[in-house]
Amino acid sequence: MATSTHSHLQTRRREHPISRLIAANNAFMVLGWRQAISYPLGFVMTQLSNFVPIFVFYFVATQVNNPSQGFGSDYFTSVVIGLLGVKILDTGLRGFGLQMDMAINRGWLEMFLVEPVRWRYLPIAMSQWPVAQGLFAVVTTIGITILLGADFNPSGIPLALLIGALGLIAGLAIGTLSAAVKVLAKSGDPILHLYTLAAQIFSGVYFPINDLPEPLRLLSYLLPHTYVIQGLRRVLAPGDFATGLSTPTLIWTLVIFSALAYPFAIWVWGRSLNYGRQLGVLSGY
Amino acid sequence: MVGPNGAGKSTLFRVLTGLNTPTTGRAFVCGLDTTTKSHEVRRLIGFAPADDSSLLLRNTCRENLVFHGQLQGMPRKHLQKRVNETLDFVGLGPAADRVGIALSTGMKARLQLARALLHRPRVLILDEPTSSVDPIAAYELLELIKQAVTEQGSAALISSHRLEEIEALHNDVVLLDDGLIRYRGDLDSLRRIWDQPRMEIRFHADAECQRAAKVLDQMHDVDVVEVDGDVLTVATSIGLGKIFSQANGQLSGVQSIQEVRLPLRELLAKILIERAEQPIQS
Repeated sequence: MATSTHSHLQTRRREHPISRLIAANNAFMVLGWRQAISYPLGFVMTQLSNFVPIFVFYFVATQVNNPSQGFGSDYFTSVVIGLLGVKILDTGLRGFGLQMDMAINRGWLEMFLVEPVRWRYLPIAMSQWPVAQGLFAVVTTIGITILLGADFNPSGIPLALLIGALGLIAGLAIGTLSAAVKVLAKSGDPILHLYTLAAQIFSGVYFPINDLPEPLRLLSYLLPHTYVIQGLRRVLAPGDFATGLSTPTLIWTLVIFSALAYPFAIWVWGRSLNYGRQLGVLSGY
Repeated sequence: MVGPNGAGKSTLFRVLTGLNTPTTGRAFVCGLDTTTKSHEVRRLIGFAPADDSSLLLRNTCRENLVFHGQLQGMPRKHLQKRVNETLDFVGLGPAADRVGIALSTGMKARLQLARALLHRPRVLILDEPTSSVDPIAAYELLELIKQAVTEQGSAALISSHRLEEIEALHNDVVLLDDGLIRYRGDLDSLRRIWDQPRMEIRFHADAECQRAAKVLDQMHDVDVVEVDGDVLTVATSIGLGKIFSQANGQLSGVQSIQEVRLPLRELLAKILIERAEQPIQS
C-alpha cells in the first residue's frame, strides 16, 4: 500500500494528552446532551423519577418519630442524605455502563474504538454526561427537600462535597470494572445489579446499619456506599453520631479506596479491551 | 479487496483498524505495527464501516463530523472550517443541518465518507462503501473517493462486491479467500495469468456453427466454451491463424470474429474454483 508524501495536508491536532482528554470529554458531553434531548419525553420522565422517593419518604417520615441512634435526629433529612449518597454512587456505578450499552445497541462502539482516543480515556470521557446529569439531580433534590423541610447543616457542605466527590470516584471505579466485563461478555450486568441490591439493604439508606445483625453489619463496611452515606450524615444531618466510624476514618477510607480502585479499574478496562482484540470480540456488536 | 463471503476481508479490516490482533503474522499500516502501535495507526486512518449504524442518526451531518473531529483532536477553529469543506466536498453542504435519520441511503454513505475524510487521513479504509447505494450513487461515490485520494495523497483500501467498480478503479486488486491472499496486483496481470483469451466466432448458419464446434473440439489448446445458435465461443492460447491452419478448410461460413474478455466475475470465480494448494501472489 502506498503511503502519502503530502504531509502538508495532514490535519492539525491537539497533541497534549490532557488536551486530548478534554476534547474527548467535550465531545461525549455534547453527544450525551444531544441524545438526551432528542428523546425529550424520556428525558423529562427520567428527571422526574429522581424525585419520587423524596416524596415517598417525606410522608414515611411523618410516621417515624424516633429514629435509632446513629441515624440522625430527623428521619426525613437522614433518608434524603442516604438517597443522595446512593444517587452519587449510582451515577458513577451506572453512568459509564449505560453509555456503553447505548454505544453497543446503536452500533457506535466499534467507531469509538477506531477513533484515535486512548481507550483508557473512554471510561472518563463517556461518563461526563451521566455525571453531569447525576449531579444536576443531586442539586435539585437538595433544593426540593429543603423546601419540604429537610434540615441540612450548612457548615458541613465543604466536607460533604469532598465525600460526594470521593463517592463518585468510588462508583466510577466499580462501574468501570463492571464495564470491562461487559465489553467482553456483551451481555447485561448481573454483578452490578446484585451489588446495587446489596447496597440498598446493607449501606443504611433507609435505616441505620446498627440495626443489622452483627455479621451483616460487617458486610456493610465492604461497600463504599456505607462510608459515603455515613460520612454525609455525619457532616450534614442533625443528631447524635457517637457510634460508628469517625468522620476522618470514613473520609480516609474513601480516599484510599478511590485512589487505588479507579486507576486499577481503568487499567483493567484497558487490559480487557486488549484481551477483546485477541479474542476478536471488539466488533460486530 | 475482493473475495467471497467469509474470505476474511472484514477481519483484515479489523486487524488494520486495531480492533483485532492477528492470530498469526503481523500487520502494518504506514510501517506501524497494528498490534503494538494501534493508537498511532488509528491516527493515520480514516475508516468507514460497511453499514451506516455507526452514524449518530439523531444528530445532524455537521454534528456527526464535529464529534468525530473532536475525538480526532482537531482544534475548534480549524474543525469548523474543515467540516464545511468536507461536507461541501461530498455534496452534503446543503444538508449540513439535517439529522442523520432524514438522510437517504446515498447521503448516509456520503456522510460516512465525509467522516472518514475529515481529518485528512493518510490511509482510507472503506468497507464496502457502495454496497447499499444504487449504481449511479455508487459511481459518484467512487469518483469522490478517487478525487479525495488524489487531492489528499492518501492510500485507499476498499472492499467491494461490485466487480465492475473494481475494474473501473484501474488499480491494484487483492483477491482474498479463506484468509489467504490468492492474488495481489493489477487486473491486467491477473488476466495475463488466469484469463485464457476467448474468441467469439459468428457463422452464417447454425449448422455451420455446430460443425465448426466439432472440428475445434478436436484441437489441442482450444476449448469450446459455448455454442449459442450461430455463435461459437472458444478459449485458446494459440493465434487465430494457427486455428484456421489446423482446421484445414473445415471452418466455413464464418461471418465475423471478435476477441472477448472473460467478465471479471467469472475470472475471479475461476481462480477461486481452480485455486492451487499454495496461494498465488504477483
